[in-house]
Amino acid sequence: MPLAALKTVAKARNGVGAFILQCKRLDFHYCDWAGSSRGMKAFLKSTLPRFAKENPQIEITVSPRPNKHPIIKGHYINGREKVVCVRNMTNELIKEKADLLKSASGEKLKRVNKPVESLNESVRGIWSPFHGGKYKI
Amino acid sequence: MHRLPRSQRPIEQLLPSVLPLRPCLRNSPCRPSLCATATRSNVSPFSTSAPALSIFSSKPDKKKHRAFVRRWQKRLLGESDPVGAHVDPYDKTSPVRIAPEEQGEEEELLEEMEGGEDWGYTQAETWRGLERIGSDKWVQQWKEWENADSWKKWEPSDSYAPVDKVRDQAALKEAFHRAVVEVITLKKAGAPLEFLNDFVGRHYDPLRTHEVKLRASRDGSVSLLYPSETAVTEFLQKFMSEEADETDVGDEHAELVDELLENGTLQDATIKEKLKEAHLTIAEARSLVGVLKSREVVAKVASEVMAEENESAQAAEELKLNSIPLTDLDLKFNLLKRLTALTGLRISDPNILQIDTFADLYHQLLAASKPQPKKLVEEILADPKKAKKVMSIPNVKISPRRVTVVDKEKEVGRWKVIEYALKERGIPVTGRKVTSL
Repeated sequence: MPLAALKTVAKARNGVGAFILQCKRLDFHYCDWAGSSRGMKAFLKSTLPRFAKENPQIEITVSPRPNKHPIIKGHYINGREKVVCVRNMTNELIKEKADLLKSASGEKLKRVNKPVESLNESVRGIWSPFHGGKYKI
Repeated sequence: MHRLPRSQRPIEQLLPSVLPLRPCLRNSPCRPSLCATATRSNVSPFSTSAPALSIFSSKPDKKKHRAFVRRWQKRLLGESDPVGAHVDPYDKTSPVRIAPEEQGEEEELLEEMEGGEDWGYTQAETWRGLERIGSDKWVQQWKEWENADSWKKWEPSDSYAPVDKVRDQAALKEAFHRAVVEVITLKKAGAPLEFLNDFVGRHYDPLRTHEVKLRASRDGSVSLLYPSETAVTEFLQKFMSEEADETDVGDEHAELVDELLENGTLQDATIKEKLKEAHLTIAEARSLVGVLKSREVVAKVASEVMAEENESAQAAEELKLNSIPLTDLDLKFNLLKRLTALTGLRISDPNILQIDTFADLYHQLLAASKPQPKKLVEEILADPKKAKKVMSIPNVKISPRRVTVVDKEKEVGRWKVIEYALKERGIPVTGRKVTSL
């Protein structure tokens, strides 16, 4: 019987696993009448198709919100929402805000002091006097 | 509630009881007259009490007093009649009567007092005709609003461009053809184009432009094939004469100008004298010469233009707008002006910069004739390329109207349950009836 190599069923990602984008939906709201939505309308006409194609995992909805300033609302998989008002902003600035919401985790903003943050604080675990080698004095 | 004007006159002059407290200086030439008139006439007209006589002043001698006043008046003013003798202060035409604007502030009268006296007051049922009270700005706005009716009399036919824009494609093509024919005819004749819109209206077509054919000549310009020579000559002659009238030059100085034309120089002494007699400056005489020369030249130019155009046009092929450049800025600008006057359509500056050929101009005109979409969705859907680009992306959903709570519930299939529950409890189902997105 000839030897056969084992088939790879999953890609080894150096132990990291799959990356899931935290932002699941982006809502773009604008007003047809008001001047503060001028940049937003330009964004929706010219930049949005490309942005949507680059991010197929995000659901994008566009709807008018009459007599209100334009906003972008991000929905995240942790159930939270983030809203950015983009009144009087240009097309380019609005693209930046959309990217910001896309890459956000959905959590509240926190001050980060340590370079590495993990749920498991130490790989070795917390030292216990009842475990491990016994010391003889 | 009713409003009564408050008088600005000092109240002590109206009250007779105040007067006796001020004894008059009898020896003064002025004071007695003031005191006397005050005691006689300054009794308040609405006072019901009898005028109280002073207990301090003695009874004045009226005859002596009048004589004294008249004497001083005659010395000072040269008149013997007493001041205010012929003036009834309560007459409507009297100059003494106080102007309404001097009547001062208004004060409110209590409702209890209104019923007391019969002054013919009737309460208004509508606001129409009542006095308006407000700030200066408000009053100005009110006046403008009242004068708004006069603006309604403005006739749209007087406007530079038609109020109702031309949207029909056949009519646009006709207008484009007409503008090209008129502007190029005048341009080739060397006539000033700025008077075209004043001279030729929208409904009056002396050149019969629909009969003129456009041809592309070999040198890359537009040639015109006129049906008859007379139409062009008449048109140009009329146009030039109108233009001459625009410059306020009449025929009264024609003889003088003829002489000027023959002799030549304006600096000649005899001609200078003649100009002086005719009250003309040298500059005016120069313009006169120019205009009359142009009138003479018109007929000649018209026939030349006709001959040239017809020759080149017969040799040329059928017009293909794509091939003809429109690089002459003067021609382009005048064409745009004429098109605006004929159709009421305006092409924006960025679009004007993109026009390089006659075809571009026509396409921009067609684009301007289409009504501008008011909504973003309409704008996206109006352009098929853009619509296809956006609609083909699977993760994008565009709503033409505001997304309501009902829409969100419907999306997740919960609305039926809510509606049933509402009906079961006898609660009215609110929200949009047609909620299809």
